[in-house]
Amino acid sequence: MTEKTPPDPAVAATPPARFMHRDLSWLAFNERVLEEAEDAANPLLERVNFLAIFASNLDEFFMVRMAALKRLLDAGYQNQDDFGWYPQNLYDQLQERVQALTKRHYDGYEKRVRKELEKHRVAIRRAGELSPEQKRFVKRYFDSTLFPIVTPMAVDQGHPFPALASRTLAFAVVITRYNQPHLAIVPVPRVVPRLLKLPAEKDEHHFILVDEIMRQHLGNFFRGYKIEGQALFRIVRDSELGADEEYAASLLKAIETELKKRPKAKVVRFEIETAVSDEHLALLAQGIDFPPGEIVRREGDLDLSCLFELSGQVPEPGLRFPTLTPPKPDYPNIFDHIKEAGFLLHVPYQSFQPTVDLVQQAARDKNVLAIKMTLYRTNDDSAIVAALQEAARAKKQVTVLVEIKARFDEEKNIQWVKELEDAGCHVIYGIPKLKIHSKITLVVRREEDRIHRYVHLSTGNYNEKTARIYTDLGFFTAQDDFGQDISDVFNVISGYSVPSRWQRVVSAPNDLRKYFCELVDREIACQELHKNGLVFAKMNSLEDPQLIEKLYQASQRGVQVRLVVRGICCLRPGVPGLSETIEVRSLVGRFLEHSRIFLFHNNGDRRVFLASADWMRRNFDRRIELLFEITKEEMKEHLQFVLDTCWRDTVKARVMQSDGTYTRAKGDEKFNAQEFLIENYAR
Amino acid sequence: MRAAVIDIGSSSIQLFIGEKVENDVVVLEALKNLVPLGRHTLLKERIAPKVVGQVVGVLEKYKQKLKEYDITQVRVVATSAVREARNNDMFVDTVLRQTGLPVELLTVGDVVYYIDAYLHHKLRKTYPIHAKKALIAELGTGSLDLSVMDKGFTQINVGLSVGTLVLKEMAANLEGSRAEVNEALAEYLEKEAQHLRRMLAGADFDDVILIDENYSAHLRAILPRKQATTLFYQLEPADVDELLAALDARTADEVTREFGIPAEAAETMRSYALLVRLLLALGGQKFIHVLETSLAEAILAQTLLNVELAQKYQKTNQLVSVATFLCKKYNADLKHAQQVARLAETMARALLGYLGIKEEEVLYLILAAYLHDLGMFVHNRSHHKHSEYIISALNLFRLTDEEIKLIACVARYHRKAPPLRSHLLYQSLPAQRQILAQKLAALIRIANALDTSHKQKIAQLSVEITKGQDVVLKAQVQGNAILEKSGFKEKKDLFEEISGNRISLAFTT
Repeated sequence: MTEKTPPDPAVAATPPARFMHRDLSWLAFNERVLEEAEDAANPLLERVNFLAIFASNLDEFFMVRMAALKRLLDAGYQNQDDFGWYPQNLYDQLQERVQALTKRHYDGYEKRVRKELEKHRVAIRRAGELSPEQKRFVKRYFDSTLFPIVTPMAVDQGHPFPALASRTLAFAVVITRYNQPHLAIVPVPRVVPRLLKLPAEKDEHHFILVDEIMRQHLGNFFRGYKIEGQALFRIVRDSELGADEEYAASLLKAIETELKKRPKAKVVRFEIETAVSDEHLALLAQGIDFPPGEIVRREGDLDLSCLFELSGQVPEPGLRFPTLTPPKPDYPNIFDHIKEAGFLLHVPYQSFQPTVDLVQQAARDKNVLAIKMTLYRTNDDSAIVAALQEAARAKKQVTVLVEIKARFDEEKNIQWVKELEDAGCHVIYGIPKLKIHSKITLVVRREEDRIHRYVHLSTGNYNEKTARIYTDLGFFTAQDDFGQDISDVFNVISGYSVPSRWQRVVSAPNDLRKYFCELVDREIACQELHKNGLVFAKMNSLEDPQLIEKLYQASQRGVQVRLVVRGICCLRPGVPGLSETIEVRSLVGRFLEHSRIFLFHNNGDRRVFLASADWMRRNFDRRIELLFEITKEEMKEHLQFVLDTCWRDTVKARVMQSDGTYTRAKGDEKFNAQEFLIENYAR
Repeated sequence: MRAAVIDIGSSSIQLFIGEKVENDVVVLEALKNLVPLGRHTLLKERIAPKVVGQVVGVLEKYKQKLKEYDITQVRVVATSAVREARNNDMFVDTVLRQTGLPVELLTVGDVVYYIDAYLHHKLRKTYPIHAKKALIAELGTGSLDLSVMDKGFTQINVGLSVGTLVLKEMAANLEGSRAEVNEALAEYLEKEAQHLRRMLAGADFDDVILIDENYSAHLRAILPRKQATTLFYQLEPADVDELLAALDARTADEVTREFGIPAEAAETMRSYALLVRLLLALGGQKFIHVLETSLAEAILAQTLLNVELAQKYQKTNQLVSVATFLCKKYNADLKHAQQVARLAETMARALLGYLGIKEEEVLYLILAAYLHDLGMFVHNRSHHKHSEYIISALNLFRLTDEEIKLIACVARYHRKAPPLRSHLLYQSLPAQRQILAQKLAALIRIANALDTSHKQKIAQLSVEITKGQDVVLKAQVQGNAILEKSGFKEKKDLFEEISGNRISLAFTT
């Protein structure tokens, strides 16, 4: 047991010394993603995927975090944030880090991955590198597919600069006629894949970027004009929704309106090929309303998120992680199975199918009276959404609480929401200012004239696709105190009732932070009395200053704190006098670690919880989240096993240092937690 | 078997859906929505259309819940906030038209009755309420209603206009510093307590039970060390002091923020604490039981379990218990009252078809008989008129205002002038009730005459109807009954007038 060290007053003094900044910490997470792309031990196409993930993550970072920061700066806001940073300092620091990471990203792609791909006869070709057959193919593709859908737009006094959507690639083209120069914009269409697979020899996989094809054929759009110069550029806009939800008559309408506004939201990132002339650049910067000094000139291809498309089109299983066929429990009727004994489901190690079965069987079961569900982010062609529609058509009472505020998914959400409504489902939209983040399903079933309720609670979304990539835990139960609580939770979030006392669940935004703090307090008390205080928690992000302070307090009393935090971690571990007994590890690997497990030693009578929430301010204050306790000994044992397994990892785990950097976990033997769990569940 | 109850209360609307499992009720859904009906009724004396709209909106949502559980048996009840609104008839009509749900208006007596019956069932092992003398209080925004139960029998129902909102409004209108206002409120409530003590004189009780679904849930936040038992939450004077101290140290906003108590409750929480203190002071109790059972839950239990109500739950028995208590309270001659009631009931039951009286209407006659001489408490002269206004001002167990008016009229007409259109209370009754009042008055006059001496000389009475439709009363008397005979002659006119036949009296020994 570590001896208590008196807090160092200097350590306790300033916020930056106590907390990592969340944005810097996020960049450190994306750096870990990049490391996976750089890691030669990973299969090549998986490395390609990690490169794409890095790019896509960074876009999101700009659209949300950098955009918010820019808004603060534009408003002349000069105060320190909770982490002790001034907006300008932070902005500069973030830009510097982004620049360094992006350089690594491009180096990783151009200098390593691309070369490796070439070795495996996978190549993204330039126009000059095409074979005659490929050239013919490309020409045909341009004529039949691209030309009809591309609309060049002139920019002059009569035609203002076109409103380009966020994450759009476009060519800025300078054309002349009768020695008069004109600027035109040619957007790269988003309705076709960015990567076009070319005809090639057997075992060869050649691709070309759609923009590369367009570049070769730009003249086709401007007959009678001379092309003086052209450059590809890309913009990313501020995507945070700004509608005042409080006053919007209908949230759905508000979001639809907001979406329409999006092309005009402020540009927060502007990248362009180096080949561009200064004159062009000034014109473009003016048109896009972006400070010229912040424009990023890029040598390589813009927007590497297109690499997602590559791995799917190269049928080389040897370059991928081995296919995983997760086991599925065997049962003729899921209701009997749940009633017999509740169970945990750990995806992607176990099949997501029981979750789908619950809704599908409920839809077809004549004794089921009602189905209720929260849907936050779901996939296209979701079997769950289809089952809900089927249930509604079978005259069951189907209530779906839809969170249309799910970031970047709004457009997609609105479409399937309308489909649900058309089928007769009772759709309830989110609550203004609160995002419904909890993932819950309730099935009301009549059995011999008694009501039985089946509940599914999960740490992950009802999304069959991400359930193959994200690690999440689901809990199925027929215990009626869960049934009552969850029924009430639905009543509350659907505005059918004010909250009452719940027996099995704790919720945000009301009590969750307080409840966690009390659990930590209990460990502090156990430490004082029995010297065995332990907090062992796994989550995606740790950012809430109050909870971090509580953990510091626990550490100063000697409580052992083990944290598996995949993403942002604002807590500084191992600082003498502040957080000596706290260790933080991050697991970034094949699967995205997404499950949230919280274990408290409680003097030997351990308490184990699952939750939809991270320890973040937004989860505690602005989202509807649920925490529920797992009380069955064998399930607690299993969750402890999952935590211990993650903690043992020496391959994909990184240990966070007090300065916010991460080092690879060390160990005598190589132990990959995710691979181990795959094998363990397969047994 | 499943059923649902919707309770439209003074600050919220609740829905309980439950099913019967063996001999108990399992609550499947308990929903609550805040709608400030009581505030409207209190401040405006009517329910505004906007609020009716809110109620309809909530009921529409509840109908969706009913579908989810395939419920067909549903009762919708409303209490004081609707009952006391002047436009309650329009309210009931609008709700029916717009939602198809019929609303029953419950009296204070009904509320206590349901709660008491439920408690008796629910607490039969832990708290045998029928072995206790208990003061049961129901706290609303506009009033505090009290019932004293003696081993399951109601003794008295009283109402005070000191609800939580009334007190809050009063405090807002008093001019003075916060301390002065608090002191003034305390004085005011002390006066009310004295008044209550006088009203409850003769009704002793061991325990005070406060039916409170609005505040008790929030007490835990302010008084975290207090633990609730299964259904009760015990409050001692020291707890109330602590509660008041906590509330006095904070604004309502702070109470909401710090303790997570909804703004509506936080605003009137201090009034609540003061009224709890008043209840504690009433009988010098060491603690009061705050009961978290809601009315809807109680009615649901009754609907589902179809509780075989004990004899004591029959309305007549409960009301006779109340009437007996009132006789004692007003120093009436109880034996005379009981004799008049017995004789009147005998006649009425024998002549139900003959006079066109319904079985359930006999109750009014019995009560009028018990209470007919209460007015003597004021003065012998015109005591029938004093009886009339005393009775009409009473809160009688599970009776509506109109029923109480009817009883008051019947009691009044036990002597002197028969019912006349010029009599205000009589005039206020609907035509059918006026006719009933005449019939019952005819009977009470004769029954009263048959105990003119107040010595209960008639041991047995039987009633015969002759072929010619005349009525013959055969009375078995003990000793000299010439006063009764003379009284009968004097008081039989009204009966003969309304029946169109003759009535005679024959004594047997």
